[in-house]
Amino acid sequence: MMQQTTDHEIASRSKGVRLTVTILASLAVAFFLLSFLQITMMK
Amino acid sequence: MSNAATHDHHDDHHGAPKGFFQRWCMSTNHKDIGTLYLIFALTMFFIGGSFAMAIRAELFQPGLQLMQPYFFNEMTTLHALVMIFGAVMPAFVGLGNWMIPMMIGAPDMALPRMNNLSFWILPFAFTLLLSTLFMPGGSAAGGWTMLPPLSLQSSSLAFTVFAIHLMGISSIMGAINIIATILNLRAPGMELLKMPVFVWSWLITAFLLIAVMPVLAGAVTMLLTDKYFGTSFFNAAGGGDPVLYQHIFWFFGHPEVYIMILPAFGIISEVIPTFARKPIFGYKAMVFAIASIAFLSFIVWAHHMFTVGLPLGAEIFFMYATMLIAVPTGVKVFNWVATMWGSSMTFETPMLFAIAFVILFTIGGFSGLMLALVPADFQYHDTYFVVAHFHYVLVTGAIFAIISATYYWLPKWTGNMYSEFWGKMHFWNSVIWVNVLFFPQHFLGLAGMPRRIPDYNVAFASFNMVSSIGGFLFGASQLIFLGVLIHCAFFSKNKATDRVWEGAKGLEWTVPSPAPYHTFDVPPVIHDDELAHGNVNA
Repeated sequence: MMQQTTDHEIASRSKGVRLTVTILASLAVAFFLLSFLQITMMK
Repeated sequence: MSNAATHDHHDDHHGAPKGFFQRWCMSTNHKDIGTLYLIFALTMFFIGGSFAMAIRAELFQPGLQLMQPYFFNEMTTLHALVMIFGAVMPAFVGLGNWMIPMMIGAPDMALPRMNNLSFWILPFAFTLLLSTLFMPGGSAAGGWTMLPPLSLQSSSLAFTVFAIHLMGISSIMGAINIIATILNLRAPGMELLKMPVFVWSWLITAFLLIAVMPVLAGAVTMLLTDKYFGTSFFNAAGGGDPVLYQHIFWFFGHPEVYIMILPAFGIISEVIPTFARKPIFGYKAMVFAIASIAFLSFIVWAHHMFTVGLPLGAEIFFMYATMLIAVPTGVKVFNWVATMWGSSMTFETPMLFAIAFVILFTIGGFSGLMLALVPADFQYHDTYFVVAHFHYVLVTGAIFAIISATYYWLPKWTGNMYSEFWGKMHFWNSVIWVNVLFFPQHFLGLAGMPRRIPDYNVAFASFNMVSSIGGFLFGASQLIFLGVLIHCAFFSKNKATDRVWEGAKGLEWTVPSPAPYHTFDVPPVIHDDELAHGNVNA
């Protein structure tokens, strides 16, 4: 038995995916830059 | 009103695209991309394995028989890079791609086109990496850790670094995709604490990947600028410090170890309950143990560096933090044993590999505890004891789990049963020869044989010969695996049922075998008794 998916739910999922990707991609960039900061501060 | 529009259930409204290029190069289907990852990982497993055979052949006897020392160093370096980034990690991503959407009732990965890109970066990355073998000056040969100043001597450093950047980008995109899928595309009713442990393990692993792969990228970028752009991040003459590289590398490197083992924990937590015909013992404890191990993995990196001259306080902190990891790991091992305790177990090939995992991974864990002790580590550091330790964790741990998962889900992927006889032949050959291969290396290490050397004292000859024989036969055993896979995919007449295994529970077993090209276009209704581990909140 399958549930029904509404367009509203699909739109809400897309919004969630976009938000998740934005946050995670920002985190990845932050960690990349942090490695340089860490080295510079430890030197 | 558009919000009232609904989507009817059509599992097979359109099938796989016609044409090889369209289907495999342009695919956005999670199952096809999962298959691509798995085939790629298997190919890399055999390439990395051939490097291992070369290493063991040279070490068969003392003296230099087959290769020059620089080529030996290239083999150890590329064996590690290929096995870690080309075999183990892509295999787990392939398993995640195939199974996570089906386990949580999602139609596909959240970002299917990025999924395609994540995979197709990899063949180019590894072509680049392996092509350095044929370049003047050879490939990187300073070990997979690429410690400066040694690694800066490599004339192909730029190619190696760029290949690692590509692998990192692929991993980060894959991790983002997995997190976005799990957090946003679960079927209604599939709450976080109802998800299969394998999905949980991948969710946590994906966060680890996002946190540490950029750090590796940063570290190798600094190597690159030190070599080609005159910076002195790690150059003592310019005010830098090579030990800083080790800190930043191992800040990546230790979580990386857990990136390679946490999904294995997830797999074993699916396989054992199925063949024990019991829900997993302590579901929530298993999930929290994985999260605890992931957290602790960030605060133990310097246990790889006890001999570089750390302050005593730091050594004591990292020693105790490392030993702390044994607690959540112990929770997992005891819970697997408790799941099997008093159960109606059967011993099909996936279960045999899972049981071997529990026993042999624990041996690797115990030798890890020995290495965590600072005074003892001063003796063991850079000896074959370390080689034995991490191969027990990664071969009988990660790779055995991947093999177990392959046998477990292969009937769901292909629609055919594999040959149980040849599966068991593969298992018994693997489990015997892997121990002949790696167990004597403990003794070699304790006797003082250093790692990463092509020649050695004659005192180490016997155990090295035994280890090499084990290595050749373990390598040959994997050809049985290849044969079983090819036979199952293309020639097996024994059709699989939908559920495949009597004790199997979870959404992936509710779809036909082979799994249709599209599954769960509309979310399934979640019944608690169908959940992989039952309703743990009940």
